[in-house]
Amino acid sequence: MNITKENSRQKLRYVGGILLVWLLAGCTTVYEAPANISVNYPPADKIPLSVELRLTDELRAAQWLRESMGDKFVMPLGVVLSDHAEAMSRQLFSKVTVAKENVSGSAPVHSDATLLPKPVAIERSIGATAFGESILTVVLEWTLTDSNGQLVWVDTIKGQGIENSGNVFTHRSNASDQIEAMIKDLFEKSYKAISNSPEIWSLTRQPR
Amino acid sequence: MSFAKSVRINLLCNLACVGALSFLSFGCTTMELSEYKAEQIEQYSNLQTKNELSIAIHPIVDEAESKKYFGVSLLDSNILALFVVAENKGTSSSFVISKEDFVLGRRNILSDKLSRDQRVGPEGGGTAVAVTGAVLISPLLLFVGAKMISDATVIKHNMTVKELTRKTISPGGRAEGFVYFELPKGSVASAESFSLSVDSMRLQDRSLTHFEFDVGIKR
Repeated sequence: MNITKENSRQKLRYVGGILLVWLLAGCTTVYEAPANISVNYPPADKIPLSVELRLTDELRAAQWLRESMGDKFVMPLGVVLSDHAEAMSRQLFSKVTVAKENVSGSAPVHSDATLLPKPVAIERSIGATAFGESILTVVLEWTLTDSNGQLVWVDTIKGQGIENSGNVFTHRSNASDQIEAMIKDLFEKSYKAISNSPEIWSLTRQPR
Repeated sequence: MSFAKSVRINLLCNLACVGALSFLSFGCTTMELSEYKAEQIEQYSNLQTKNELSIAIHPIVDEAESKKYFGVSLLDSNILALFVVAENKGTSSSFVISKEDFVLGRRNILSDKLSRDQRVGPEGGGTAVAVTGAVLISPLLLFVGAKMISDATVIKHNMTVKELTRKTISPGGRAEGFVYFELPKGSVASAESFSLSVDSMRLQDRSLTHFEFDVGIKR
Protein backbone atom coordinates (compact mmCIF):
# COMPACT_ATOMS: atom_id res chain seq x y z
CA MET A 1 0.00 0.00 0.00
CA ASN A 2 2.78 2.38 1.00
CA ILE A 3 4.76 1.44 -2.10
CA THR A 4 1.75 2.26 -4.34
CA LYS A 5 1.26 5.63 -2.61
CA GLU A 6 4.96 6.47 -3.05
CA ASN A 7 4.75 5.50 -6.76
CA SER A 8 1.75 7.77 -7.24
CA ARG A 9 3.56 10.68 -5.56
CA GLN A 10 6.60 10.09 -7.74
CA LYS A 11 4.45 10.08 -10.89
CA LEU A 12 2.79 13.29 -9.73
CA ARG A 13 6.22 14.86 -9.23
CA TYR A 14 7.23 13.85 -12.79
CA VAL A 15 4.02 15.24 -14.28
CA GLY A 16 4.40 18.42 -12.21
CA GLY A 17 7.99 18.79 -13.36
CA ILE A 18 7.09 18.33 -17.02
CA LEU A 19 4.22 20.81 -16.64
CA LEU A 20 6.56 23.35 -15.02
CA VAL A 21 9.14 22.99 -17.80
CA TRP A 22 6.37 23.34 -20.41
CA LEU A 23 5.05 26.46 -18.69
CA LEU A 24 8.46 28.09 -18.27
CA ALA A 25 9.98 27.20 -21.63
CA GLY A 26 9.56 29.97 -24.19
CA CYS A 27 8.07 29.33 -27.61
CA THR A 28 9.19 30.84 -30.90
CA THR A 29 6.56 31.88 -33.40
CA VAL A 30 7.76 32.51 -36.94
CA TYR A 31 5.62 34.62 -39.24
CA GLU A 32 6.45 33.60 -42.82
CA ALA A 33 6.03 35.75 -45.90
CA PRO A 34 3.66 34.35 -48.54
CA ALA A 35 5.39 32.46 -51.36
CA ASN A 36 4.28 34.53 -54.36
CA ILE A 37 3.72 38.23 -53.85
CA SER A 38 2.83 40.06 -57.04
CA VAL A 39 3.75 43.73 -57.19
CA ASN A 40 2.15 45.82 -59.95
CA TYR A 41 4.72 47.95 -61.71
CA PRO A 42 3.31 50.32 -64.32
CA PRO A 43 4.63 49.67 -67.85
CA ALA A 44 7.37 52.15 -68.71
CA ASP A 45 10.58 52.43 -70.68
CA LYS A 46 13.54 51.06 -68.77
CA ILE A 47 16.19 53.46 -67.53
CA PRO A 48 19.15 52.95 -69.91
CA LEU A 49 21.72 52.15 -67.24
CA SER A 50 23.75 49.10 -66.40
CA VAL A 51 23.31 48.75 -62.65
CA GLU A 52 24.93 46.57 -60.04
CA LEU A 53 22.41 45.76 -57.32
CA ARG A 54 24.12 45.08 -54.00
CA LEU A 55 22.22 42.80 -51.68
CA THR A 56 24.16 43.02 -48.45
CA ASP A 57 24.21 40.53 -45.59
CA GLU A 58 22.39 43.16 -43.53
CA LEU A 59 19.47 43.21 -45.98
CA ARG A 60 19.34 39.45 -46.42
CA ALA A 61 19.27 38.95 -42.64
CA ALA A 62 16.64 41.63 -41.99
CA GLN A 63 13.89 40.57 -39.63
CA TRP A 64 11.35 41.86 -37.14
CA LEU A 65 11.78 40.36 -33.67
CA ARG A 66 9.82 40.78 -30.48
CA GLU A 67 10.45 39.01 -27.19
CA SER A 68 7.72 38.89 -24.61
CA MET A 69 7.66 36.90 -21.37
CA GLY A 70 10.04 34.24 -22.72
CA ASP A 71 8.27 33.95 -26.07
CA LYS A 72 9.87 35.03 -29.32
CA PHE A 73 7.99 36.34 -32.34
CA VAL A 74 10.08 36.46 -35.50
CA MET A 75 9.26 37.78 -38.96
CA PRO A 76 12.15 36.96 -41.33
CA LEU A 77 12.00 39.54 -44.13
CA GLY A 78 15.49 39.45 -45.64
CA VAL A 79 14.75 36.95 -48.43
CA VAL A 80 11.50 38.54 -49.55
CA LEU A 81 13.07 42.03 -49.48
CA SER A 82 16.09 40.87 -51.50
CA ASP A 83 13.96 38.98 -54.05
CA HIS A 84 11.72 41.97 -54.65
CA ALA A 85 14.64 44.41 -54.76
CA GLU A 86 16.05 42.32 -57.64
CA ALA A 87 12.68 41.96 -59.40
CA MET A 88 12.03 45.71 -59.15
CA SER A 89 15.52 46.60 -60.38
CA ARG A 90 15.07 44.37 -63.44
CA GLN A 91 11.81 46.20 -64.20
CA LEU A 92 13.54 49.57 -63.86
CA PHE A 93 16.95 49.30 -65.49
CA SER A 94 18.10 47.99 -68.87
CA LYS A 95 20.78 45.77 -67.32
CA VAL A 96 21.12 44.49 -63.76
CA THR A 97 23.82 42.39 -62.17
CA VAL A 98 23.37 41.20 -58.62
CA ALA A 99 26.17 41.18 -56.06
CA LYS A 100 25.13 39.19 -53.03
CA GLU A 101 28.29 39.45 -51.04
CA ASN A 102 28.72 42.36 -48.66
CA VAL A 103 31.02 44.64 -50.61
CA SER A 104 29.75 48.08 -49.63
CA GLY A 105 32.29 50.86 -50.06
CA SER A 106 33.96 49.80 -53.30
CA ALA A 107 33.11 51.12 -56.74
CA PRO A 108 31.51 48.78 -59.30
CA VAL A 109 33.67 47.38 -62.06
CA HIS A 110 31.37 46.65 -65.02
CA SER A 111 28.38 48.90 -64.44
CA ASP A 112 27.30 52.53 -64.85
CA ALA A 113 25.98 52.70 -61.31
CA THR A 114 25.45 50.82 -58.06
CA LEU A 115 22.09 50.52 -56.36
CA LEU A 116 22.17 49.74 -52.66
CA PRO A 117 19.01 49.00 -50.64
CA LYS A 118 19.64 49.36 -46.90
CA PRO A 119 17.13 48.42 -44.20
CA VAL A 120 16.87 51.39 -41.80
CA ALA A 121 14.09 50.17 -39.51
CA ILE A 122 11.52 47.41 -39.17
CA GLU A 123 8.74 48.23 -36.72
CA ARG A 124 5.47 46.52 -35.94
CA SER A 125 2.79 47.82 -33.61
CA ILE A 126 0.55 45.34 -31.79
CA GLY A 127 -3.16 45.83 -31.20
CA ALA A 128 -4.47 45.87 -27.63
CA THR A 129 -6.93 43.10 -28.57
CA ALA A 130 -7.24 40.52 -31.36
CA PHE A 131 -9.32 43.05 -33.31
CA GLY A 132 -6.82 45.84 -32.64
CA GLU A 133 -4.90 47.24 -35.60
CA SER A 134 -1.32 46.11 -36.11
CA ILE A 135 0.93 48.05 -38.49
CA LEU A 136 4.12 46.64 -39.99
CA THR A 137 6.48 49.28 -41.39
CA VAL A 138 9.75 48.65 -43.20
CA VAL A 139 11.98 51.66 -43.83
CA LEU A 140 14.32 51.04 -46.77
CA GLU A 141 17.00 53.48 -47.90
CA TRP A 142 17.93 53.35 -51.61
CA THR A 143 21.27 54.81 -52.66
CA LEU A 144 22.48 55.10 -56.25
CA THR A 145 26.15 55.91 -56.82
CA ASP A 146 27.95 56.41 -60.15
CA SER A 147 30.89 54.39 -61.46
CA ASN A 148 33.26 56.58 -59.39
CA GLY A 149 31.36 55.83 -56.19
CA GLN A 150 29.89 59.37 -56.06
CA LEU A 151 26.37 59.77 -54.71
CA VAL A 152 23.84 60.40 -57.48
CA TRP A 153 20.57 59.99 -55.61
CA VAL A 154 19.24 58.73 -52.27
CA ASP A 155 15.73 58.26 -50.95
CA THR A 156 14.16 56.45 -48.05
CA ILE A 157 10.87 54.66 -48.57
CA LYS A 158 8.43 53.48 -45.92
CA GLY A 159 6.24 50.49 -46.77
CA GLN A 160 3.28 49.59 -44.56
CA GLY A 161 0.99 46.60 -44.07
CA ILE A 162 -2.04 46.95 -41.80
CA GLU A 163 -4.06 44.04 -40.40
CA ASN A 164 -5.87 43.07 -37.22
CA SER A 165 -3.49 41.56 -34.66
CA GLY A 166 -5.53 38.36 -34.76
CA ASN A 167 -6.35 35.71 -32.20
CA VAL A 168 -4.64 32.37 -31.55
CA PHE A 169 -6.13 30.95 -34.77
CA THR A 170 -5.65 33.92 -37.12
CA HIS A 171 -2.47 35.75 -36.03
CA ARG A 172 -0.23 33.81 -38.44
CA SER A 173 -2.37 34.33 -41.54
CA ASN A 174 -2.96 37.99 -40.60
CA ALA A 175 0.80 38.53 -40.27
CA SER A 176 1.33 36.86 -43.65
CA ASP A 177 -1.25 39.18 -45.27
CA GLN A 178 0.43 42.08 -43.50
CA ILE A 179 3.84 41.20 -45.03
CA GLU A 180 2.25 40.97 -48.49
CA ALA A 181 0.62 44.40 -48.15
CA MET A 182 3.88 45.91 -46.85
CA ILE A 183 5.96 44.47 -49.74
CA LYS A 184 3.50 45.79 -52.35
CA ASP A 185 3.44 49.24 -50.77
CA LEU A 186 7.22 49.38 -50.29
CA PHE A 187 8.19 48.35 -53.81
CA GLU A 188 5.46 50.28 -55.64
CA LYS A 189 6.64 53.44 -53.83
CA SER A 190 10.31 52.58 -54.44
CA TYR A 191 9.68 52.00 -58.16
CA LYS A 192 7.91 55.35 -58.41
CA ALA A 193 10.67 57.19 -56.55
CA ILE A 194 13.48 55.74 -58.69
CA SER A 195 11.70 56.09 -62.03
CA ASN A 196 10.75 59.73 -61.30
CA SER A 197 14.19 60.81 -60.09
CA PRO A 198 15.61 63.62 -62.28
CA GLU A 199 19.06 62.92 -60.80
CA ILE A 200 19.06 59.31 -62.08
CA TRP A 201 17.80 60.35 -65.53
CA SER A 202 20.49 63.02 -65.58
CA LEU A 203 23.11 60.27 -65.13
CA THR A 204 21.83 58.50 -68.27
CA ARG A 205 22.64 61.64 -70.31
CA GLN A 206 26.23 61.80 -69.10
CA PRO A 207 29.01 60.38 -71.32
CA ARG A 208 30.13 56.94 -70.18
CA MET B 1 -42.92 40.22 -6.99
CA SER B 2 -44.60 43.51 -7.80
CA PHE B 3 -44.43 44.99 -11.29
CA ALA B 4 -42.50 48.09 -10.04
CA LYS B 5 -39.89 45.89 -8.32
CA SER B 6 -39.47 43.81 -11.46
CA VAL B 7 -38.93 46.97 -13.56
CA ARG B 8 -36.34 48.25 -11.03
CA ILE B 9 -34.40 44.95 -11.12
CA ASN B 10 -34.53 44.92 -14.92
CA LEU B 11 -33.24 48.50 -15.05
CA LEU B 12 -30.42 47.72 -12.61
CA CYS B 13 -29.42 44.68 -14.68
CA ASN B 14 -29.32 46.78 -17.85
CA LEU B 15 -27.26 49.46 -16.13
CA ALA B 16 -24.88 46.80 -14.76
CA CYS B 17 -24.44 45.36 -18.28
CA VAL B 18 -23.73 48.80 -19.79
CA GLY B 19 -21.32 49.54 -16.93
CA ALA B 20 -19.48 46.23 -17.40
CA LEU B 21 -19.22 46.77 -21.15
CA SER B 22 -17.89 50.30 -20.65
CA PHE B 23 -15.39 49.00 -18.11
CA LEU B 24 -14.21 46.26 -20.44
CA SER B 25 -13.95 48.46 -23.50
CA PHE B 26 -12.34 51.40 -21.71
CA GLY B 27 -8.57 51.12 -22.00
CA CYS B 28 -8.79 48.08 -24.25
CA THR B 29 -8.67 49.86 -27.55
CA THR B 30 -5.42 50.21 -29.46
CA MET B 31 -3.83 53.61 -28.99
CA GLU B 32 -4.31 55.93 -31.96
CA LEU B 33 -2.01 58.87 -32.57
CA SER B 34 -2.67 61.85 -34.80
CA GLU B 35 -0.86 62.45 -38.05
CA TYR B 36 1.29 65.57 -37.92
CA LYS B 37 0.01 67.87 -40.64
CA ALA B 38 2.78 70.16 -41.80
CA GLU B 39 1.95 73.73 -42.74
CA GLN B 40 3.24 75.70 -45.70
CA ILE B 41 6.93 76.35 -45.03
CA GLU B 42 6.36 80.12 -44.95
CA GLN B 43 4.01 79.67 -41.97
CA TYR B 44 6.86 78.60 -39.65
CA SER B 45 8.47 81.39 -37.64
CA ASN B 46 11.85 79.63 -37.47
CA LEU B 47 12.64 79.60 -41.20
CA GLN B 48 15.84 80.22 -43.15
CA THR B 49 16.66 80.16 -46.88
CA LYS B 50 20.17 79.78 -48.26
CA ASN B 51 21.28 78.85 -51.79
CA GLU B 52 17.63 78.27 -52.76
CA LEU B 53 17.17 75.73 -49.96
CA SER B 54 14.62 76.62 -47.26
CA ILE B 55 14.61 74.87 -43.89
CA ALA B 56 12.05 75.48 -41.14
CA ILE B 57 12.01 73.91 -37.68
CA HIS B 58 9.36 73.53 -35.00
CA PRO B 59 10.37 72.05 -31.61
CA ILE B 60 7.61 70.13 -29.81
CA VAL B 61 7.76 71.62 -26.32
CA ASP B 62 4.04 71.83 -25.57
CA GLU B 63 2.93 68.83 -23.49
CA ALA B 64 -0.49 68.59 -25.13
CA GLU B 65 1.05 68.67 -28.61
CA SER B 66 3.55 65.96 -27.65
CA LYS B 67 0.80 63.71 -26.26
CA LYS B 68 -1.34 64.27 -29.34
CA TYR B 69 1.36 63.24 -31.82
CA PHE B 70 3.52 60.87 -29.73
CA GLY B 71 1.22 59.56 -26.99
CA VAL B 72 3.57 60.73 -24.22
CA SER B 73 5.28 63.89 -23.07
CA LEU B 74 8.69 63.34 -24.67
CA LEU B 75 10.36 66.21 -22.81
CA ASP B 76 9.54 64.45 -19.51
CA SER B 77 11.94 61.75 -20.75
CA ASN B 78 14.50 64.35 -21.87
CA ILE B 79 13.70 63.78 -25.52
CA LEU B 80 13.19 66.70 -27.84
CA ALA B 81 11.19 66.08 -31.02
CA LEU B 82 11.99 68.67 -33.65
CA PHE B 83 9.81 68.93 -36.75
CA VAL B 84 11.77 69.82 -39.88
CA VAL B 85 10.52 70.96 -43.27
CA ALA B 86 12.95 71.50 -46.14
CA GLU B 87 12.07 72.81 -49.58
CA ASN B 88 14.21 73.18 -52.66
CA LYS B 89 13.20 76.49 -54.23
CA GLY B 90 15.71 76.18 -57.07
CA THR B 91 15.34 74.86 -60.59
CA SER B 92 18.65 73.10 -61.16
CA SER B 93 20.30 72.01 -57.89
CA SER B 94 19.41 68.99 -55.76
CA PHE B 95 20.12 68.72 -52.04
CA VAL B 96 20.49 65.77 -49.69
CA ILE B 97 19.03 65.94 -46.22
CA SER B 98 19.15 63.42 -43.40
CA LYS B 99 18.79 63.34 -39.61
CA GLU B 100 22.55 62.85 -39.32
CA ASP B 101 23.02 66.40 -40.68
CA PHE B 102 21.43 67.88 -37.56
CA VAL B 103 23.54 68.67 -34.48
CA LEU B 104 22.14 70.28 -31.35
CA GLY B 105 24.65 72.07 -29.17
CA ARG B 106 24.57 74.31 -26.13
CA ARG B 107 24.14 77.97 -27.04
CA ASN B 108 27.07 80.42 -27.08
CA ILE B 109 29.39 77.68 -28.26
CA LEU B 110 30.07 77.67 -31.97
CA SER B 111 28.85 74.45 -33.47
CA ASP B 112 32.12 73.73 -35.28
CA LYS B 113 33.94 74.02 -31.95
CA LEU B 114 31.59 71.79 -30.02
CA SER B 115 33.36 69.04 -28.20
CA ARG B 116 31.82 65.59 -28.26
CA ASP B 117 30.19 65.88 -24.84
CA GLN B 118 28.71 69.27 -25.70
CA ARG B 119 26.99 67.95 -28.78
CA VAL B 120 23.60 66.33 -28.65
CA GLY B 121 23.32 64.00 -31.60
CA PRO B 122 20.05 62.98 -33.19
CA GLU B 123 18.67 59.81 -31.75
CA GLY B 124 16.88 57.11 -33.70
CA GLY B 125 13.40 56.06 -32.61
CA GLY B 126 14.93 53.08 -30.87
CA THR B 127 16.71 55.04 -28.15
CA ALA B 128 13.75 57.24 -27.44
CA VAL B 129 11.37 54.36 -27.41
CA ALA B 130 13.55 52.32 -25.09
CA VAL B 131 12.53 54.86 -22.47
CA THR B 132 8.83 54.82 -23.14
CA GLY B 133 8.70 51.12 -23.89
CA ALA B 134 10.39 49.97 -20.71
CA VAL B 135 7.38 48.12 -19.38
CA LEU B 136 7.83 45.30 -16.88
CA ILE B 137 5.05 42.82 -16.73
CA SER B 138 3.78 41.36 -13.51
CA PRO B 139 1.44 38.33 -13.87
CA LEU B 140 -1.08 40.14 -11.67
CA LEU B 141 -1.09 43.06 -14.09
CA LEU B 142 -1.28 40.92 -17.19
CA PHE B 143 -4.54 42.43 -18.41
CA VAL B 144 -3.33 45.97 -17.96
CA GLY B 145 0.10 44.89 -19.17
CA ALA B 146 -1.21 43.72 -22.54
CA LYS B 147 -2.52 47.21 -23.15
CA MET B 148 0.75 48.78 -21.99
CA ILE B 149 2.77 46.59 -24.37
CA SER B 150 0.45 47.54 -27.20
CA ASP B 151 0.81 51.25 -26.35
CA ALA B 152 4.60 50.95 -26.22
CA THR B 153 4.70 49.30 -29.66
CA VAL B 154 2.35 51.95 -31.07
CA ILE B 155 4.50 54.78 -29.63
CA LYS B 156 7.73 53.23 -30.90
CA HIS B 157 6.26 52.51 -34.35
CA ASN B 158 4.81 56.02 -34.59
CA MET B 159 8.16 57.65 -33.79
CA THR B 160 9.87 55.63 -36.52
CA VAL B 161 7.20 56.43 -39.11
CA LYS B 162 7.34 60.17 -38.35
CA GLU B 163 11.14 60.37 -38.35
CA LEU B 164 13.01 62.40 -40.98
CA THR B 165 14.85 60.03 -43.29
CA ARG B 166 17.70 60.52 -45.75
CA LYS B 167 16.51 61.77 -49.09
CA THR B 168 17.27 63.84 -52.16
CA ILE B 169 15.30 67.06 -52.50
CA SER B 170 14.98 67.61 -56.24
CA PRO B 171 14.18 71.07 -57.67
CA GLY B 172 10.73 72.04 -56.38
CA GLY B 173 10.80 69.06 -53.98
CA ARG B 174 10.17 68.89 -50.25
CA ALA B 175 11.18 66.72 -47.30
CA GLU B 176 9.70 66.68 -43.81
CA GLY B 177 9.82 64.68 -40.61
CA PHE B 178 10.90 64.65 -36.98
CA VAL B 179 14.44 64.52 -35.64
CA TYR B 180 14.76 63.30 -32.04
CA PHE B 181 17.43 64.50 -29.62
CA GLU B 182 18.25 63.12 -26.21
CA LEU B 183 18.79 66.22 -24.05
CA PRO B 184 21.28 66.50 -21.19
CA LYS B 185 19.71 65.87 -17.78
CA GLY B 186 18.35 69.00 -16.12
CA SER B 187 18.14 71.00 -19.34
CA VAL B 188 14.35 70.69 -19.52
CA ALA B 189 13.85 71.89 -15.94
CA SER B 190 16.16 74.86 -16.49
CA ALA B 191 14.53 75.64 -19.88
CA GLU B 192 17.93 75.75 -21.52
CA SER B 193 18.39 77.12 -25.02
CA PHE B 194 20.27 75.26 -27.72
CA SER B 195 21.79 75.96 -31.07
CA LEU B 196 20.86 73.69 -33.95
CA SER B 197 23.38 73.28 -36.73
CA VAL B 198 22.35 71.79 -40.10
CA ASP B 199 24.53 71.01 -43.11
CA SER B 200 22.88 69.98 -46.34
CA MET B 201 24.91 68.75 -49.32
CA ARG B 202 24.28 70.02 -52.83
CA LEU B 203 24.63 67.04 -55.14
CA GLN B 204 26.00 68.88 -58.17
CA ASP B 205 29.21 70.14 -56.52
CA ARG B 206 29.19 68.36 -53.09
CA SER B 207 29.20 71.77 -51.37
CA LEU B 208 27.56 72.14 -47.95
CA THR B 209 24.91 74.74 -47.15
CA HIS B 210 25.06 75.59 -43.47
CA PHE B 211 22.14 76.64 -41.28
CA GLU B 212 22.12 77.71 -37.62
CA PHE B 213 18.90 77.91 -35.58
CA ASP B 214 18.13 78.89 -32.00
CA VAL B 215 16.05 76.28 -30.19
CA GLY B 216 14.39 77.12 -26.89
CA ILE B 217 12.72 74.39 -24.88
CA LYS B 218 10.80 76.62 -22.49
CA ARG B 219 7.33 75.12 -21.99
